[in-house]
Amino acid sequence: MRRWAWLVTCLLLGAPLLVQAQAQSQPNPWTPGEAVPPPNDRLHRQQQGNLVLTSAVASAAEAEAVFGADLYQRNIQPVWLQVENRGSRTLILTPYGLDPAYFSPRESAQRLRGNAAAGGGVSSTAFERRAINRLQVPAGTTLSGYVFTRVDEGTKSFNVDVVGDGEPYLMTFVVPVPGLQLDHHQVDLSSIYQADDWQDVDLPGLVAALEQMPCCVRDAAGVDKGDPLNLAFVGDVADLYYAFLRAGWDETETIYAASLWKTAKSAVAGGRYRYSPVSALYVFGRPQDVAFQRARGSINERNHFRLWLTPLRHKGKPVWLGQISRDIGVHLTWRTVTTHKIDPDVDETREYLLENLAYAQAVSAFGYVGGVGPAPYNAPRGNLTGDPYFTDGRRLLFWISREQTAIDDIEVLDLAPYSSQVLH
Amino acid sequence: MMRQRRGRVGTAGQRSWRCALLAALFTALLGACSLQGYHSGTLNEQAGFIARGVSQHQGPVRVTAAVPDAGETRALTGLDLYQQGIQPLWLQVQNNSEHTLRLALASIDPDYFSPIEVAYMNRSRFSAQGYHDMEAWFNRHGMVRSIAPGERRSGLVFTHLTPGTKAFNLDIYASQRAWNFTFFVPLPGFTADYRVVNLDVLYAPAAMQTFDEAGLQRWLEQGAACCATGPDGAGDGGPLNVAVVGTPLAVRRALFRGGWRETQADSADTRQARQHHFQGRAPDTIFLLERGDSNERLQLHLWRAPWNVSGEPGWIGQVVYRRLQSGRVLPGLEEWLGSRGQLSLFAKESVEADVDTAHRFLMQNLWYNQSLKAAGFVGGVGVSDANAPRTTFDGFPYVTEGFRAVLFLSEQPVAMDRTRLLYAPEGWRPEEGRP
Repeated sequence: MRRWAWLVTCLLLGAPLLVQAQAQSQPNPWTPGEAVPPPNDRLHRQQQGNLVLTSAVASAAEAEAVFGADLYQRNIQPVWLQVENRGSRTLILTPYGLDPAYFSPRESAQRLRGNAAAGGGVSSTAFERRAINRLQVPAGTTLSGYVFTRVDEGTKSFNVDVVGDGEPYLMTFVVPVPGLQLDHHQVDLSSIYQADDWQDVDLPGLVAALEQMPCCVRDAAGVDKGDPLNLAFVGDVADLYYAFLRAGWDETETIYAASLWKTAKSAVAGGRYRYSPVSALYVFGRPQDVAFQRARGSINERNHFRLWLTPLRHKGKPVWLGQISRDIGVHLTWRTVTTHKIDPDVDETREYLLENLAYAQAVSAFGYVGGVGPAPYNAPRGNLTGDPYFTDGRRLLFWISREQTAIDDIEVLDLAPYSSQVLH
Repeated sequence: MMRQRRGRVGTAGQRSWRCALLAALFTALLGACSLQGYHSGTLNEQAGFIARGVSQHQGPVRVTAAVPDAGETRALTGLDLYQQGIQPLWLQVQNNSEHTLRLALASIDPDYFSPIEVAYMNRSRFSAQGYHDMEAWFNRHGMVRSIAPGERRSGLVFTHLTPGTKAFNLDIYASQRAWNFTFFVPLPGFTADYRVVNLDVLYAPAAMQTFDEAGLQRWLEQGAACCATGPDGAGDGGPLNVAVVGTPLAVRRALFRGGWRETQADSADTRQARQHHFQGRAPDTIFLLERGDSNERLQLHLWRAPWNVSGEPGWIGQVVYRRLQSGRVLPGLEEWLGSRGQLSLFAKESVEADVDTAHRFLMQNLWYNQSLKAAGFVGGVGVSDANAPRTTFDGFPYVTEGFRAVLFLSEQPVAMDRTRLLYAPEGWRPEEGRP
């Protein structure tokens, strides 16, 4: 959004600035007005003008050590913040920016002890003493404490918004949290292609090259044709990553026995398990480079998408090919025991992603190219698990931008002049 | 010997298991025979609910929206979608522009259901042909996203059910331009509480005051009562910890944008809240914000106040947390609190007692939903300490540093950086107990 052009967005993914905290061997009494020490030494620090922000996300074990209760089990993830106002005016910190459904200290305490107003060993007072209980940070002061957010495993992405001296600050932190192994951490994107594999393409070249790419994913044997590759992205890996996290997508976990068990339990009980693994699908002879999913009501209501890096570059940015599906239920197959029934209207799911990323203000432009091939409702094609799907045959090409773009600033590109196919 | 006995028991167990399996198969077979074909109603512009539709236009874009109630939805789709938490919304968009328009369905409900998803959720009752017909019906009647110049298109969007008036935003966009709509579509059988209050006759004209921002602060800090009262006009009805300035439309838009829902005057859900009075009457309107992942909700009680600020109506109110059990405010809590010894503990520990957190949340909720023109904090409530807490007439002790949140609301979205901070935030010092 142009209005937010003054905002500072600093992604710490590539090179987090780690600051060694002072060892805290003795518990601090946390009396009001005293600084609250961080839960670990994995501190992330950002400075913008007169504002210095430091954050640390407590792991499940660290949260339990600090609060004496299993916060993660009750879907509470404490984020430690230190806001140092070196300016001459009061700043306002809004915890709502970290998580619009953040828990107040008392709500957190109550979640841990059930419905009884008292009882259990958990005290609201202890949570309040460690929490950030004010919005304002007066000039020349430092405020530190916890904000109680909902749990993000793997990577915690959050914003810290500070306003008040006529120039608001918005900082984005992307902080790995121990405890979950993730796809993209295992794939070395820089080693997929050799230097001379890369092709730099202009816009007509990009459209032509994308229309020549495979229509669909394949299974490990490389035989069957599966779901259509109906997405393409232009953007650096960090920009894509930032956009997907901002839009509420979670990374997937590598398939392990424990997570399969969690998936099964979640499918049966209808519980929430946001990180259930996705199976490997193949393009360019390799499984997806990265996969994301976005939970809705339950595991039966999820969307997930997979991405493969192509050897194309457009204006210096890498180009990605992708596939998205909307799970609308679970059904049994002989191959994988259970699999997700996908919405056969794959175009609907493709457009959903466009809106989802547009509202995360991450799309600067988009347009359509061919390459999938149409399959009308009355003559659908089948995917790898035998589910039918229908499509207009178009691939949605996104330009992903770090600069925030409001919906009324998104450029809709007509790529038909470059297309060798008839697009509807 | 033991092994043999176990063996025999095991065999008998297997036999009865087989019997059970056969019985289950038989039942399943019977069930299969009773699977139905699919029968829908017809969707056309003569449908009764479409006659209740609401139309708006902006420049070359005209939109009509209508919502079928539970019975109309059953008649239309052949399915009890309300019971599943799904509410269809009918849209018709006329494109008189020269651009192809795109509808952002996610602006209506970011977690909307796709048409075939709704069909698939209901597949179990239907025969194979029945499911095929149902899927085709839903596919045909889903709203399109793209509308060519000169075209008029209509269809259904499947949203999450909200009780009462269906309030939603709709963004329609083309390359580097957008039209933003906000709709309120009334549903029959639901009358929001503010619809039965005539705001114009609450105060005699002579009793109405006109303030500027400084005058508002003086009234809030020196002129106004600290608290609401009980139903008899006496007792402590809890702190009036919010003051709002804005038209009724701005108030509704802001609260709907923030995810709040309106209530009915005769709802059992708000009976207790209606015992809280200001100037001898129950709240003119009560809005609730449920937390999806918790067992609390926020309650906002608002009364039209006897003043305007720069021509905009003023409101005084209270926002509090209330704990829920099975969707209802916790029963028996007041009785339990009747024992005096529990009061201080409750004041120190409970979510409900923490009224300052509630108004801080409200302020951020409105700010992030781009409804806040200006905001600040002023005094006027007075301190209530956890060691000797003030207690409401209905038995809730509360703690507060004594401040009121002042919220100026806008009918049109306000970017977050455009919100003005009032009443010298430089003066909000912790040692003064500012929020």
